[in-house]
Amino acid sequence: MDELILGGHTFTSRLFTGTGKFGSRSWIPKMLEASGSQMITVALRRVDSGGRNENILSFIPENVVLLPNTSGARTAEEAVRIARIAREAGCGKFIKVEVITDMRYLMPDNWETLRATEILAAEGFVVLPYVLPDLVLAKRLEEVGAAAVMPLGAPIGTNRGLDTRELIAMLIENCTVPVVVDAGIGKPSHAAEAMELGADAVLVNTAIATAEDPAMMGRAFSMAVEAGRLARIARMAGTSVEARPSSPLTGFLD
Amino acid sequence: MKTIHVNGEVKQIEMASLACLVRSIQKDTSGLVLEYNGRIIREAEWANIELYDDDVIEMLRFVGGG
Repeated sequence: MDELILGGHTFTSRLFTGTGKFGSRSWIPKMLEASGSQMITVALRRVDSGGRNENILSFIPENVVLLPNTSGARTAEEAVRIARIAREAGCGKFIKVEVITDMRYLMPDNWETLRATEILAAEGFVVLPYVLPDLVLAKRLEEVGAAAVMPLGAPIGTNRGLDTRELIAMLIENCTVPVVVDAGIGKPSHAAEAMELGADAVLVNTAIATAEDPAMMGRAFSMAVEAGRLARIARMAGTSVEARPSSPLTGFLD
Repeated sequence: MKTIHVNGEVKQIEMASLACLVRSIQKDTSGLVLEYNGRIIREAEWANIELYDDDVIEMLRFVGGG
């Protein structure tokens, strides 16, 4: 597949993945190998002395780029703090800014996200903000130094696909930074649809992690992303209401 | 006895160093991220940090997330 350059890093896979919701974390390296995904999200939490406390980083091969998220942040300041800790802890310079206060639909707070993006971009982070697809906001994010914009297709974990399709299309047509569709992608055909629409990449977590065979599902998503990307580059034929014959209608049996 | 804050909770402790405190809470320290009064402290330095009243400690770890 053609390369995607983000934050000075060259990606040959346009499928970004996540580490949440796996029944067993031992699926993570298998999924990464089967899908060829080269970037994966992680979250930062307080240690729970009684709970499951495996170090998630030990399941991620070194050649895969870490994309820590700021989940749990309700304000720009909290997101900035999480980002700084993640970088200090050796997670690199990539950060997915995610600021959420609405707990029913997990809608991102676009205003706080813009503030956090501005601060973190100025500090040298490669900032990938998770947003509701709003063209005006996306242009502002570009101005303050976002490395990409990550519009949601549908609320996190809903598997509904591109509910926001037309709004994402506006971002794709008008943004100069890469557009990565994040959240809501529930099956490979959704991922292919996003790529056909012109998205630069997709981020898929729930649909892969909660499949019965996450490795095989990772491979399925990877093929769908590649198919969608190739279709976009090859320029798809237009549609029409009336039939247009694909075989000659004259010259035989007439 | 000293009164410190660990992950948002007030704790009365007798341990002298950060290393002792951490190991009393978490036996497995792999991947542990420790913030001591707003500063990330590498594991090699934990034993050199002496605890005082009102210290604020955050013990964090990377977990699965999307």
